[in-house]
Amino acid sequence: MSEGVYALEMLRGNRGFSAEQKGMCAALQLKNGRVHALLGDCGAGKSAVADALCGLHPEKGARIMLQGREKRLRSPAAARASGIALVRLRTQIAPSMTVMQHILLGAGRGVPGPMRRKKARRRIEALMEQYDLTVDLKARIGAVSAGMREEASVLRVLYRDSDIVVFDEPAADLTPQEADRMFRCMRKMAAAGKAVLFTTRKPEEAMSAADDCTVLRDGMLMKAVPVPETDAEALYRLMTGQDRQPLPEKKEIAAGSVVLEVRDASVRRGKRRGQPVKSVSLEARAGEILCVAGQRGSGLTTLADALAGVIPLSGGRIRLNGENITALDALERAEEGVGYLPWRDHGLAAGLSMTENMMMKRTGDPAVQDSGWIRGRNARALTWQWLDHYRLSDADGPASSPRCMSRGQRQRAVLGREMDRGTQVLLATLPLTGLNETERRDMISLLMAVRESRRAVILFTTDAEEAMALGDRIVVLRGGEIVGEFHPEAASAREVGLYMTGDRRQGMEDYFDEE
Amino acid sequence: MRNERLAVIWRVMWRAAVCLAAVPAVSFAVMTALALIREGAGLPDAAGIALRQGLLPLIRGGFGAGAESLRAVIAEAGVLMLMALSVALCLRAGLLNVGAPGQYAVGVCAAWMCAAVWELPWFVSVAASAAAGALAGALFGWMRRRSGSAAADVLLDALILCAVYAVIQRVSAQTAGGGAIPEARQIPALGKGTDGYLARPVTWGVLAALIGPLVLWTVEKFHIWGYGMRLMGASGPAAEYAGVNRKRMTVLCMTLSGLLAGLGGGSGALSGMAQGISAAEAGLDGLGAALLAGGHPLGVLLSSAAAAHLRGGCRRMGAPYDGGLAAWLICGGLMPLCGWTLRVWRMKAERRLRGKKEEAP
Repeated sequence: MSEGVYALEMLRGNRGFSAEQKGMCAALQLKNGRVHALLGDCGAGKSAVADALCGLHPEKGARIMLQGREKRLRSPAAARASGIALVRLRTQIAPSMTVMQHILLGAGRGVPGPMRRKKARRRIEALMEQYDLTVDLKARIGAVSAGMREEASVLRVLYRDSDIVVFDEPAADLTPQEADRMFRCMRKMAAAGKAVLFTTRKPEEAMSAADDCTVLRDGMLMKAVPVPETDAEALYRLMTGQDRQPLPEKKEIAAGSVVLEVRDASVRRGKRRGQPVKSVSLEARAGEILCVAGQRGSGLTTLADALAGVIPLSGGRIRLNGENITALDALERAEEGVGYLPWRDHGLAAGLSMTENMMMKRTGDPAVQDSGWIRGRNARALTWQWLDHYRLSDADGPASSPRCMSRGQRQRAVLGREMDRGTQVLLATLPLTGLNETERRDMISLLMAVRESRRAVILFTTDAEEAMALGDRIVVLRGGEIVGEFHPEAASAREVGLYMTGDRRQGMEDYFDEE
Repeated sequence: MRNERLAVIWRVMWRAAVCLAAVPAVSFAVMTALALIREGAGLPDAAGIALRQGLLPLIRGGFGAGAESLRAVIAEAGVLMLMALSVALCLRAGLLNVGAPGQYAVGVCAAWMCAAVWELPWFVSVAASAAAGALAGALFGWMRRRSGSAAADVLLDALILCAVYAVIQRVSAQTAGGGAIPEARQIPALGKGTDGYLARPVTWGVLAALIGPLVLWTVEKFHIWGYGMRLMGASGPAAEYAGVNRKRMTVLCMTLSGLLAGLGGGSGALSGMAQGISAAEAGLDGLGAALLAGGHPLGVLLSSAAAAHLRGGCRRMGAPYDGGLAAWLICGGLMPLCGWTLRVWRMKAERRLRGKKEEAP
């Protein structure tokens, strides 16, 4: 990278971040008119850097230079006043606000009157045209797709006329089409003279969308390189410290009989007012991975919870090996052979010991309890078996807490616990989210092992590429309904993405094509 | 990760130690200021008064006048233990029973009606107080299940307190003896003091209060039902995935909590202490003791004893201090505040260990 005055320089802080908030030892240099990628694995410290740049955690002592002058960013308001803006898709939003209100939030003083609103609308429409963004300004922000929500957040930043724009994992929850659109928008922002930074864990995204790239590993700056002088493999090596290994091979297995059959399953409302599910029908066969792909808010967790028995169905039926299990609750379904790897690490209770976590779905097991009283010695012995068999090395023993374990180990622990009970179908909700490369590969191997043991896996994912790589069949969920079904050999991730965003729907292709 | 956890635990412990040191220091400063204002003395004299009349009697607490005062502390601690246990049970299940004063008041009312109005034997009155408390608890649980928030409990609590006081006032006016519970209808005493607040008897109710935490701890630790309750308190989603019916468990926990609070109220009323501890006092003290104990049943034994000890100390305070007001401020205000602060710190520390929150897909 050439010398000169940078739009933004982030130098090593005089007080480093603690282990869970890494990244402050990175020296990052952004230039006006260029797109900069901050590449790092999960947990490397990318979000910590983004937080520091937008004025969060000022006590951590980050040193930030703007146009060659040191600037203390004591709050997000100070960062905003200095022309730095953050776009984060998963930022909490006020779902009842309209897109227009979301864009105007925090820009100017108070609630704009009718005249100011009219003026603001004209300006927003001009920005939409300039940056090729399409949002419905009257729609509720909580009801629009992930892509449109991100575009609304971009418009908010553009409306404030920020000079330095930081995107935190902009493509994480987007379909390939939406991600392309977002990267094109970043290019246009850079062409307008802004300095753009985006964080990513995919070297390919850095290669395709950025001019410069800084690689972070464990909170340490590894290297800053202009993108034309490097390649994706070199970036991957810098990011992880090892060569890229191919994903575990998906062996050819003929799908067996139907294990789990869902017919017209409907759920009125998910937990915490989640997306309802409408008349979903699917079949999971022995020895196959059925991927249910959908964007956030499409009803993935509602469907998974309903299949696991956590929330009741309002209509339809579920059969496990031909037996109707619709009326059974979560524990009874678990005893019948439905394993559940819930979203994030909700499968473990951090405040309880490993023994108590092991007992979670075995409260009716005579090996663990006798007339309601816990058989402590047996439970501890079973916990040791569980820890040893699944190589849960982060846990000290039955008395230790899951808090001591890494994210990957916690996922592994839940998967192991679920598979230990003669599970015939495994429901896995976003099992790879938040895992680093090693942990991802490890988790994929485990899922493949489940498939090879002739059990059925239903994998819920928001990533079209992940669905293509792992699934034997893919169904797409949109607005709580199944809108398409594919075989990975006969479709592409882009095509699946079209269905995920609602741009296409099986049986209505002609209608969408004409449109 | 383990080092981080130790660091977080160390931070919370350090803050707790600072709190412990700060409480007497702040109390002493406030007492000195009061002495300055009320006595018009110079600063050294005011500090002397604050020390002699305020801080030392407070710290000496229930140990001031030998066995008599110790007995009074034990009698008071018995009621507080049942109240604190009632709140602690809910805390372990991740629920904050803000309706405990109302459940206590219902227990007092039921015991009083049975003993003073209908002149039933004491054990029937105790059973009636427990049943009434359980019913009130079930009502609170049902409301919590429907609304999912503690705000409705606060309103219901206020309503119940008003209703109970109105009932007691109206009925006692029409009852011979002004509503006093005859000694024959009270819980048999193990011993009794002579004058003032020292006249509080140690009854069999105190023994029940001592055994209660042990029983609850055993059930929590070794029984599947207690395990389900702790699981719900540790992680609501994990409990749901493990097949625990959260709504049913909420109602059950609140019912049991109401039973304990009602028992506390009945035990207090039938020991001749109904005038000694009001429902609001018992509720706040119980909440403070439960929070200080971190919801642990055995910790409740110590924190309740400490609360009763401090209350005894407050009553020993001399001029220019108002012991009743001090007891209300310290046990009803400061203790819940300290307990809640410690709880919030612990929750924050745990959240930091777990990482950032994500939006559900």
